[in-house]
Amino acid sequence: MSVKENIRACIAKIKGDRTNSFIEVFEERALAQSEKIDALLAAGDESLILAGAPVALKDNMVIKGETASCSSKILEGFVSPYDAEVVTRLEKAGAVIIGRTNMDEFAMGSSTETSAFGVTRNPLDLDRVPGGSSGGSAAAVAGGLVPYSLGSDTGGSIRQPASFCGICGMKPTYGAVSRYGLIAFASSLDQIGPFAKDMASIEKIFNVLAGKDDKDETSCEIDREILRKKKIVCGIPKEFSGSSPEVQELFNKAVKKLSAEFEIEDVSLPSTEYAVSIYYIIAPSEASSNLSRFDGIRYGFRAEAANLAETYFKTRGEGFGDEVKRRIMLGAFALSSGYYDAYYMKALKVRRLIKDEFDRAFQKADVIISPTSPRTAFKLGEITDPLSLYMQDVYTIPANMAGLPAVSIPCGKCDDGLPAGFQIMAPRKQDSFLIDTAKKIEEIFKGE
Amino acid sequence: MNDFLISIGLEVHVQLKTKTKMFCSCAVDPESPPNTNICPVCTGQPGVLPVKNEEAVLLGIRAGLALNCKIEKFSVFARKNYFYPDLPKAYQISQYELPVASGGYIKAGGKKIRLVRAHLEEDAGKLLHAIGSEEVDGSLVDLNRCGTPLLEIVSEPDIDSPQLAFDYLKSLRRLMRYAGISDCDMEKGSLRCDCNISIRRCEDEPLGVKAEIKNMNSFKELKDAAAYEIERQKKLLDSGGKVVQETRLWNSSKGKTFSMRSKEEASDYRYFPDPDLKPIYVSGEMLEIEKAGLPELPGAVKERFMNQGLTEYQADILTDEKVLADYFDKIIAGLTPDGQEEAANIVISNLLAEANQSNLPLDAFLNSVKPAYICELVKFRQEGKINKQVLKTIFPKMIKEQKAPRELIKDVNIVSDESEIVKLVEDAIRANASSWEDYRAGKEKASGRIVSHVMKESRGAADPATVMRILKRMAGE
Repeated sequence: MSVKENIRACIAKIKGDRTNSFIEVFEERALAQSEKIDALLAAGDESLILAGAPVALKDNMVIKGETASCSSKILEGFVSPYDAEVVTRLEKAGAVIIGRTNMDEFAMGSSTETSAFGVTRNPLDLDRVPGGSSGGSAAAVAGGLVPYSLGSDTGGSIRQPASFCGICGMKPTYGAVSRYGLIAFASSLDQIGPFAKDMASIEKIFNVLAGKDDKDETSCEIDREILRKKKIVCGIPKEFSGSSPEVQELFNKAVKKLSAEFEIEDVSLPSTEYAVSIYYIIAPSEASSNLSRFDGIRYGFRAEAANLAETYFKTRGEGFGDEVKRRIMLGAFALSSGYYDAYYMKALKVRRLIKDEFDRAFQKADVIISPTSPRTAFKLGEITDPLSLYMQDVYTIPANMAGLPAVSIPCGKCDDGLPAGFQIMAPRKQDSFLIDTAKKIEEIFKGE
Repeated sequence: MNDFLISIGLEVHVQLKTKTKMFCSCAVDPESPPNTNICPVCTGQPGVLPVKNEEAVLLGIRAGLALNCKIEKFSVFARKNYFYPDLPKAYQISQYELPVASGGYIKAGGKKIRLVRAHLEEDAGKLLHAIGSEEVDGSLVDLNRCGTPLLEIVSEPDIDSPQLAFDYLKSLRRLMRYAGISDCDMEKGSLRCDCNISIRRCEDEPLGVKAEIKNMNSFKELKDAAAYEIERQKKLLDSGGKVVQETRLWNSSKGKTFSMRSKEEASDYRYFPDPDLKPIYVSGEMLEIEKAGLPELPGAVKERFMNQGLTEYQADILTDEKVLADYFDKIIAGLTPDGQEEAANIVISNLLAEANQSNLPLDAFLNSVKPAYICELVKFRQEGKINKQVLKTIFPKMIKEQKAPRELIKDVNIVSDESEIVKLVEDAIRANASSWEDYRAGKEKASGRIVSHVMKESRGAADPATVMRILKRMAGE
């Protein structure tokens, strides 16, 4: 089967999708790229790591000549004049970018329900959410539409939907994958990462994506050498104990399976108690500034208005959804003069404490394990209270605060028949070691 | 009525002389057609990231050194958030709590004006209002300037007069130009200045409420605006009123300042460290390299010129522009020390006069005049071969025709033979016998008639200094 035929089949599958995981399929671009890859393959080029592989991108990564929207009305009509670094790297490796996937508006949410393009459903149960904010990318892989997709993770937006959809999702070390071309939500936390059904696929695509990029000052080289340990020590933070009974039970069973090959240790991360609180200061603060550029002047949606001030008020008033507005207000408040020290500065100090506590925990443990999310996929519309929704990220946010690499891998199904993810975190830049360890754990879970 | 103490602080923006913008690789070129030096980064497209221009950072460090600042080992870029159509990201990347340089001073008008800080930032774009025009009917934005590297230099309120504000800005400009940091051309906008003014009745009182004055487009406008604002505040206080904290705009055609916005209307910029940029780390080694690379600054050049025997007046003029000081150094390299004063005279009286008349920028003009020619002129003057009149005649020719002075003096009637001048002096004494008697009796002024007689007879070809020397000698005999 040629790449082109394969891509045609893939597009057909996406068109029959009932989960609304895609916002747009880049048919023309995908077919053009597949022809190119077919020609390279015919010429005997064996260097393309992802030759012909369809990859779906979350709708917050830009592609030259294509629309990008962050699932928001405010970017209506925006066509990117440039490629994100991940797009360049994927296409160079022979991947075919097949389309853009649905997400919570500007990646703000944990259910993909705040999208301006409707909700995405969980392919395992259409009445349930796929998680979020990268819900479309998770559903696309879980539903078998594509083998790979990319998401972005600011507080758990890759790992939690991976958990809800029963697949693998990785948030690399902060800076391991260039953010150039990722429409920013919270710059100091945002990180692009892949979804796939198994860790071998995650490893393959991650190696294409990772590496220092001169266009992103915060990007870095990771340690590609895999640490060899006689017996890997898994630390379980005693503070991560707020799970639903079925999730906790599944996690306990999973840990038991590991104990033959791995050493299990208790660790303590006392300041992670405040991780969600400070996340909702730091992330909205950065977002309030990052999202200021959507002002109706140069691109995207512009409301009819009588003067400049009205242009700003009406464009942003009509263009952003409620959750985005809520976070912009929260962030603008936290940064305003007179409150900065009490909120933003203090939050940064707590963030530092969390980092230090992880450093200490990693002296005792090689990796830290926990459930990915305190519960399994909930029903569409089930959680409407923002605070309850925010608490869904309680186990994932700490890794963003400390810049750590973390994966969520499936570890079976709970009594309610829904999957729950198993989170593994590693020290900064130890992404290769993390992937290697996750592969071993994946083997153990599969072998049951 | 009462005398007030004046406190002026200046916030000066200088455009750094870099090839590319602060955070992207677009060219810095104010002459380009609108929106041609732009890219996704400087137009604030979704998803872009800034990357520091190392050249701009080094210029910032160099500026800090030239301004006697403390260079911070660790400094941070911060976002200044506000909405305006010329600011594509709706925040300006600047420095806030941790600037690249702090403290320091500038010497001006015989005083040391202390500095608060110098920090790096990016410029905004430009708006063009074409409301009502047939083609557009609206406002246009040109983002060519957007992202141009700037250094903001903030002074303490140590300036106590409009004249000192003027002198301070001149000194600052000279320093920046010497150190190769900025062209500081106010007309082209590469030097901009905001002025904070407050007044109070005595030293014991705290500083008065200040007004910030913007929109001065020349050194003179700065002086005028400051003078106007001081008078306005004085009158206000004398009549029992209060100065309110506000931003005022200078209107040069009306010669007045007008209120633009009050403190209440001022934005809360919600500064915070830019998470997209890494801090600037300045190592000891980097600092040593920059220090060693710093050119001789105007204060030092002036001192050197004065030690070489020039007057302060001469040294001031010659060090006003680095190109001129460099040029003068080239001249004196070809002269013996006793020729320096004459060289200074020729440069100041003849060369600069010609430079002003040419429409060339000073550096281009100086490039068109060989320093060796000036050396030749100095030697001729020292030897008494030419007088000032002749100098004045041949000088423009020398530049226009690119001919050496020795070529030009061939065509000029010059009396350089001393015996001939002696003859002329003897004739003049005969024709002005009474003046001669008076002169011999000690009346110095009486020599005037005799000398002018010689000059008239020689049609200006004799050197008055030589004539005087001969006259003195004859009177002493």
